[in-house]
Amino acid sequence: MSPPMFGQQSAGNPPAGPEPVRIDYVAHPGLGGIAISNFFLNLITLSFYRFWAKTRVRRHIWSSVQVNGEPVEYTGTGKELFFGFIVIMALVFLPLTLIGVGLAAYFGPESAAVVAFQMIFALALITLYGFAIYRARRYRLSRTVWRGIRGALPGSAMSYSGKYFGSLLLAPMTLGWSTPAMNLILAEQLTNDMRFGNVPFSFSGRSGPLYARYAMCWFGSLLALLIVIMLAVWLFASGAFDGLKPVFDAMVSDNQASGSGDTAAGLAIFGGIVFAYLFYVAVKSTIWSFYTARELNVFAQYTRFSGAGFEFNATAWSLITLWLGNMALIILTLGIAQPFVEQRVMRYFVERLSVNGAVDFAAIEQSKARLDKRGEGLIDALDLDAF
Amino acid sequence: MVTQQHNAEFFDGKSAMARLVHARVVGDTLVISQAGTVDVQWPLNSVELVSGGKPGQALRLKLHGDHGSRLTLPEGNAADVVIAAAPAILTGHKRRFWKGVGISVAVVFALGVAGYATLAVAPQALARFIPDEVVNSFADGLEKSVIKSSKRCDAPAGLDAINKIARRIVSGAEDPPTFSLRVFDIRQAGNKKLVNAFALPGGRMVFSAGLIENAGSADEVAGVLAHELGHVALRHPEAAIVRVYGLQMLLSLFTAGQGADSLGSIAGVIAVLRYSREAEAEADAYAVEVMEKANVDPKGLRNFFARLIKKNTSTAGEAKADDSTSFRKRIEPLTDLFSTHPGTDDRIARLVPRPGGTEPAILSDAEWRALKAICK
Repeated sequence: MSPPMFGQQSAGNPPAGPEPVRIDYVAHPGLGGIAISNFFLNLITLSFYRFWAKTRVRRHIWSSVQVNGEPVEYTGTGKELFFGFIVIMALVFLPLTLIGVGLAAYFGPESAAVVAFQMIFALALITLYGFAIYRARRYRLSRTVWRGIRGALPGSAMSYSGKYFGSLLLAPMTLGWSTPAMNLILAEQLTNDMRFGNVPFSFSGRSGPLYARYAMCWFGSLLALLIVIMLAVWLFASGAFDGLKPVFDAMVSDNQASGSGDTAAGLAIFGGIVFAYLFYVAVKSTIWSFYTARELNVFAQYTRFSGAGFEFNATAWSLITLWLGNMALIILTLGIAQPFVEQRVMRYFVERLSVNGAVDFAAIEQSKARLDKRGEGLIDALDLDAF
Repeated sequence: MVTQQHNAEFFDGKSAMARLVHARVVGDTLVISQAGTVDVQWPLNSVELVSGGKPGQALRLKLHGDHGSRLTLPEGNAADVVIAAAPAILTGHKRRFWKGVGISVAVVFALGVAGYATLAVAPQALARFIPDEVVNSFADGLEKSVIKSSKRCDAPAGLDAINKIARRIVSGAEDPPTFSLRVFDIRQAGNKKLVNAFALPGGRMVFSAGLIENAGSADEVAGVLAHELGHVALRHPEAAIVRVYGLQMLLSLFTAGQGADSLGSIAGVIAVLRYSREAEAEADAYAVEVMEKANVDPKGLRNFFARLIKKNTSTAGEAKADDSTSFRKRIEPLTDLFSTHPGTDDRIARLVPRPGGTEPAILSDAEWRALKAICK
């Protein structure tokens, strides 16, 4: 069989040259069935079906994204994810667990050697976060195909991992103020390393324009925290909690012999604490979605591909409703609707993204980046997920 | 040159350029051609569905193993012809689905088998390979949880007596394991004397003073000792360590290393030190064999159990909680002699008394009194 040898300008081809780019989310039925069968299969296989479950969801969601009318295709397989997991388990987690168990057996479970090992173990896991995110994105891009051409991320996962670890260290040291600059550095590498076929994306811009919004959110959440604290202090001072004090003392001193009345009061205290925490998280998330919206929009502006630029239309309110909707879906369906959450997120990004300028797709050639045989083992093991 | 009507869109996997082509089925091949150029031929049995195939959808196809080429047939005649020639294209995703289900179910099944082997078969086989340091470190921890701050009973004459019993029992063992034997005045809640004996890893045998005080004769102590020697010889305590390791390993496979928190916990070993019915039966069989060879009356072990049951029912009566489980609840969690699995009654029934003949006494009356006074 001889290879196809079509001329570039054959009579039967659509007009070549740069074309404007349109990206749409065109939902099609089938996700409900996938969600339900995935849920039950995960249940009966003690979650070992998750690799195939994820793959089915991605195939469905990817194929709902259309670029210039042609659907995007996900070509990954459950087997690749499964072997990614097995390899990470066999090469990383099992040996480390063996060493840990061996140390505990040799030196005793509370010995300094075991404590030191556990600290090193935890630290090693954190340094792997960036690596896991980068490798997972590489796998997903390499399994994302449009018009027969796949994406790629051939850069250095190690260098990304270093930057990511740096951002984790700097954030608490600078009380968070390093976040916009570090997020920019991370987005810069991810975007600059990204390819569609043989054509790179590019990212250039400064973090300066993010700081006004960051300051607003930073002081806003500080204010929210102060208000919550002041409210609590005022409630204590005004004696609102006095009635609960004996109950609390009883709970602390004797948690065995407590009557049903005490239990009810204890539940009320517990419920109050949970409610106050959730309220604070909700307020904080609301405030910070103003920053997230700004960052998404600015980073889109900084991104270019071939002759095209990007525009993203995120708003704080739309992010909040997206998040609230997702939470409600998960809670109300006990997690069965997880695929719909992923669909909502994908749809959010697709529908708010617009591409200006034109791209000469005919000039884009297939990616030469090596195709990994496995994927995402680390990110699955670390229980992280990067979109 | 024949002009053909374009009825499909083709991407060659080399560039993102769309090509309008003609696609037709020739025999068992899908022939993709463009006016005046060479054909691409896809064997129909290697053609896979990308998407579509339902009414109102275009049919998107690819060649198995080819990462790039894609063919799109709009809904209609050409798509119908291809499907008619190779209907398996539409069912490929079902095969893929069942393959995923099959592999994941097989993995869970394999892990279940591995888990069973970890608990049932492997520990006994692997027990001999645990390094002494590991065994001793576990034994130290277990010993602490058994003995707590109990007083060591080491009256010299009493020690001589129990050593004499041990020598007699060992004389009946073919390949006796190395072991140590110590007596402690172990108390339960309410300062009641514990009546029990333990075989810890590394051949460390611990007898409670209560057991010796409750024994009616040296034969009874000898029977218990023979039973514990059975556990030591058969490496049951070491097998328990392997069981804990194996369980943790499996756990870490499911939880991706987060199970490592419970590394080598003593509580874990205690939980699995409750030997299985088979292990207890093995130790009993070993004890009977050794006692017979050592010319010790195997009724000793039997009498000891009988006495305990009698004693228990009477105390249970006093406590007015006369149900069969109260006895088991009252004894320590690390019950060796009275492991939860085999009913003590069963075990007594299984101990067949030696037919006829009286055995020479193990201890003289003076020695027996000395043993009883080992804690004084």
